[in-house]
Amino acid sequence: MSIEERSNSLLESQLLKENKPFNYKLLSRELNIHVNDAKKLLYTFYKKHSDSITVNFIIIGKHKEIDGTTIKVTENIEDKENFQSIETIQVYSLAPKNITINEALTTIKAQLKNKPVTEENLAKWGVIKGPELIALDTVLTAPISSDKKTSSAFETKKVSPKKPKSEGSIKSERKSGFPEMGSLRDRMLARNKKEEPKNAIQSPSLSRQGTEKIAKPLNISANKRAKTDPTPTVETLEDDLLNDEEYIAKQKFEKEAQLKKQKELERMFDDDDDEEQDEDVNDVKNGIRKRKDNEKGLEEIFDSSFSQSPVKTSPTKKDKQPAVESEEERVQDEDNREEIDEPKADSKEESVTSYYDEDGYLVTKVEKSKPIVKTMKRSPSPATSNPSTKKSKIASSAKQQSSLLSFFGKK
Amino acid sequence: MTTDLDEYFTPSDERQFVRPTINTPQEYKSKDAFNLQFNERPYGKQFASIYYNRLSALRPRISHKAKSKWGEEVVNGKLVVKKDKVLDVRADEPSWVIGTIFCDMKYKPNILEEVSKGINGANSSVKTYTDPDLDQIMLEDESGRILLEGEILKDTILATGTVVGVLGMETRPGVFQVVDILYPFLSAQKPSRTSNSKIALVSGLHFNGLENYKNDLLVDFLTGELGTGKTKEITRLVIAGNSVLVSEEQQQQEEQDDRNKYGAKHKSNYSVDSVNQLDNFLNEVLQSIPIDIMPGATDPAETSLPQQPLHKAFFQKSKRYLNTSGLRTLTNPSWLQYEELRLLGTSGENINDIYKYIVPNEDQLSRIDMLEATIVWQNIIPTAPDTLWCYPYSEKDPFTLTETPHVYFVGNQPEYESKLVDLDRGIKVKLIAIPIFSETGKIVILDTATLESEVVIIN
Repeated sequence: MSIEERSNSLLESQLLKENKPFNYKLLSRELNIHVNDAKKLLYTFYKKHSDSITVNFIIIGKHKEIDGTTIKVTENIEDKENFQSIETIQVYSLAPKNITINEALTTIKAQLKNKPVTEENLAKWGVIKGPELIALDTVLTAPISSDKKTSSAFETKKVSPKKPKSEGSIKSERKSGFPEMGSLRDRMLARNKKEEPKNAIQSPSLSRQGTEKIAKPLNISANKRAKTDPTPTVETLEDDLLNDEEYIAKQKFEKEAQLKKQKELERMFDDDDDEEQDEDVNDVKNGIRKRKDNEKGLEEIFDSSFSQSPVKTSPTKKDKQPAVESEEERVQDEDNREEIDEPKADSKEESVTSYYDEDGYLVTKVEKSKPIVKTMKRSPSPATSNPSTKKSKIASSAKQQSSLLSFFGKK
Repeated sequence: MTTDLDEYFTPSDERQFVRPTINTPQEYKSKDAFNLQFNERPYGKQFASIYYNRLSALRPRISHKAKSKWGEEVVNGKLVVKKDKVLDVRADEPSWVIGTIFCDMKYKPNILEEVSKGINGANSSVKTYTDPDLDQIMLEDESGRILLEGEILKDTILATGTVVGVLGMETRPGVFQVVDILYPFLSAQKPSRTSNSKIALVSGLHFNGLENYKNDLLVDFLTGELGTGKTKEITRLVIAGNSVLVSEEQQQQEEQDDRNKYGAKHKSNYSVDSVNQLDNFLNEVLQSIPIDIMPGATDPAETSLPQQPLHKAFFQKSKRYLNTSGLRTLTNPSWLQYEELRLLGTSGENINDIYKYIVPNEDQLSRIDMLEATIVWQNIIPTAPDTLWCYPYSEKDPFTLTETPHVYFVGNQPEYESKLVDLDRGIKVKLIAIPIFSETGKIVILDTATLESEVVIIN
């Protein structure tokens, strides 16, 4: 079938039967032809069916009364008489009768959205090639390396030129660098699915898992927000690729950052109850520790809210966090398991049900209300490869934590 | 329909045009002149230091010119003397003195009045501040103020914050009769301005979430799909502010939603639809042409000048261009450099505000004289911080020019105007008033080689 036949049959079925408006852009995308050809095809079609459809012409030229080049959109071709000289006349759009150009455009643009934009297509449609795109496209053709040292800025550049394309690629792009609540959910879901089998054996720990997920979003969003810092960051991470050494290094790093944060917080709250703190420093009794662990969740939330404040630790340290995050969690799972033995004992008696709600969050319902509080301790806390530092850290965090709690208690 | 239309249809040209590039240096002078560090932005300071710094920066520059022009001047048979302070002027002694203009006008917002009446924020809907019968123009410096009078003032554009030197005599106590005015010595201009391609300038896109064919034709025009020969020479698009407009309806809706949330009226220039529409527009245009975008008064950016670049989060679709020279988010005002050509642009608040100081009459409808005035004054936003909100700079007045641009453009003006002004020492500046696109459908195309500009109207 020649292009003209294809065009005519397309226009007949879509425009005449289904009352869908067309402009040259849509036709050129539909048939994958140059816009100039599309304009002509629209005109040919219009000549045949001029009485059943409305047309919008574009007249480009010098208007008699207006200085400068005028681009006039008109339904009435006689407007060309007002022009001193005409560069070109084209058909802009064809639409069913009584549809205004703006209404038609809404429909057309909705359809245009689905058309894949690639370098070749742009060339075919007659879009003038911009220098920037070429540069981007050449980078694009290079395989995307998994080198984790590349900054996110560079990575997005590489992935980017692929344009709208499929849903999937857009999603993956989104994850880099910009706060985007939608993809967050996906990410959570994905993690849920990944980790579920592992923890499925003990239902109590699943329950913790669940609440942790619910606590998580705040944390992630904070980290993401932190990424709007100009400093390029290490973006996504393939946990599996990290070897142990890197791993430990990162954990240490993370811990230092955490400690710094803690000190920062301490300073802010320290006039509250210094004495209490002195007592607490050496007090590592389980009960108290438990309480502190519970407050870890809160602490994270506060940390994250401070993470945007300029007083903070250096951005590079902060930026590392997201990278280590999920891997670290997993380790914590193991490390913490021993520590939390006690609570586990109680929680075994509870009946736990969990399900995904319509938003994709894992919701866990526990019969007793107490364990839910306990689960907070599962929210990300510094890794525990060095127990002594952890203890002291927890201890030092005590005063600040308790003061926070009391602060909220008053409300 | 006759077939004679056929002759106008563009010949089928299947090859793809490649847009020429314009070199946009990564680093250039004054690139960050109006940037404010986001974590070092204390607002606790007083505004007086802006005036002080402005006066002390421009005083020697006026003095230099005045000495040569007025040094030997004789008025009423007496040799003109220089007075260091405004309050030193004596009756019957012709003299010249340098100071900052202050316009006391009936409808000009007055912060003291606002505070005493409990009004929060100036009423921006005031069309003009002036009342010709009551206006008083004064000259002030550290010592005090003196009222200015004279025929010459009526034909001169003056606004609060302008630093000038005046020649005259005290005729009545506290009143200085002006016979001549001097402006600061022009700052240097980059000698070479080699550049040869065209750029497009547009402002006031006013995306409001509603479909408008003008916007689509603008896209098609810029990407070349409209098929006019002009397009393929355009190397860059500059958007000079007001890309987004939150309509009053939307605003009312949002106000209702947020009513009394914090006990105060909540106004925002942010609307999801508008910003998405802008993002889509940018994304389409970026497929073919690089863009520089400045924030403006109606954009979701801070209200005080200098406005900082639009937040990256607005550009979800276009963000992949953000770290390249493809899409640059600029401050308002902003210095730009294409090849060797130096451009200075604002989104129009400065001129729109100066306009309110001018007695409305038919000869003064043109804004281009005000553009010229700001270059002659060597201060692009003299009315900040008086009638325009502004960051309380304490070290400098960033709006005072230390370099004269080759091209000075101002967005969001009612009509397109342009002028190539010839100033002292062979300094030529191309002035461009960029019209509001949503109202006029006009795009300005500037030839960076010849500095000629033309306009394209989408009607």
